[in-house]
Amino acid sequence: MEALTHGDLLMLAAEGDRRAWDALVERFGQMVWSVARSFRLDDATAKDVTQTVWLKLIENLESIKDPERLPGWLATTCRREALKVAKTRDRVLLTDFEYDVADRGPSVEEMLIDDEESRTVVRAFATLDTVCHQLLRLLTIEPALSYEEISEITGRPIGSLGPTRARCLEKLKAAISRISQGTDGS
Amino acid sequence: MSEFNMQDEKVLEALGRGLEQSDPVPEDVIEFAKASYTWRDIDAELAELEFDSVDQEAPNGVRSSATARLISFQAGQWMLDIEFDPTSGRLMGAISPQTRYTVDVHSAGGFFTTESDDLGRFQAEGVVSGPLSMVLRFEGGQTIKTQWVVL
Repeated sequence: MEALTHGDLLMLAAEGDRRAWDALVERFGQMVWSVARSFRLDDATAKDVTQTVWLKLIENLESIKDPERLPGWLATTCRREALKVAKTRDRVLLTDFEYDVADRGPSVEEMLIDDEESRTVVRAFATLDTVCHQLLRLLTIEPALSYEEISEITGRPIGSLGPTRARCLEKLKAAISRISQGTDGS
Repeated sequence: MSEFNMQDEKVLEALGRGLEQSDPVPEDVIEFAKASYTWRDIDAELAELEFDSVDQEAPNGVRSSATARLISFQAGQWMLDIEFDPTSGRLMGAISPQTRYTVDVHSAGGFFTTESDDLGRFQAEGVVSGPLSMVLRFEGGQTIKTQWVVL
């Protein structure tokens, strides 16, 4: 199943092959979750949104026109559901939270990361503003999303993504060096 | 700080690695997605979403989460209206034209079956927020299933 293209899996799943469906869920499970999280949804809401995306895919197995664009279809469906569920529940989406991470120890989630470098980067990431938070998160997703797809998810023009990416990476690197200086105890 | 003098690609890579470890997709999401495939096997006509109160903005742009959610589905001659009250967890439904049927409620909270009255109305308690689909089985043998909606 691993060697099959997205299109093959989609076709087999549409024909009733359960193993192909399972393989699709395995292949894109983390991606869909990450897109939902890029909207800063809490656990319960992110679960509802990702589950709905999979249900929508089941409804649309036969009707996806260009199977190789499945990652984009999943990502944009996820965006639509994230915005919709936020409306029904009065959840606040994309709130800015900036705080001084040097003042706190690593969170439980951060402790799960087994290399120091990644842990510091994730900690620095938590200090970024909403726009950077979403864009950088989307840029880390595997299989990689195109700029066109990221533009659709974020609702930002394609031309602005490159400059925003550069600005956000600068901010991230600045936060990384702040944190690593702080934790050095100097 | 030489170890953090990373190139952009390396920073993104470290971030991706870190996020995947600290915030992996929950196992129950994967299990639910796999299990949902059986819904597809239910041989039924699909009732499509016709109306959803969540798509309607109040005139002043203010929305209230306290009000009931109203959703309508249509399949051929059948029109199913449901009302969900998130506070009490009560789900009420009515179909026209009026007839008797059983309804299977599929939701994130689980699966159960209930029956309508002679006027085509049903009521279910303890429905939780999350994805919902209903399968209606009419006395004549016809079956319809609704599109998934998120309560």
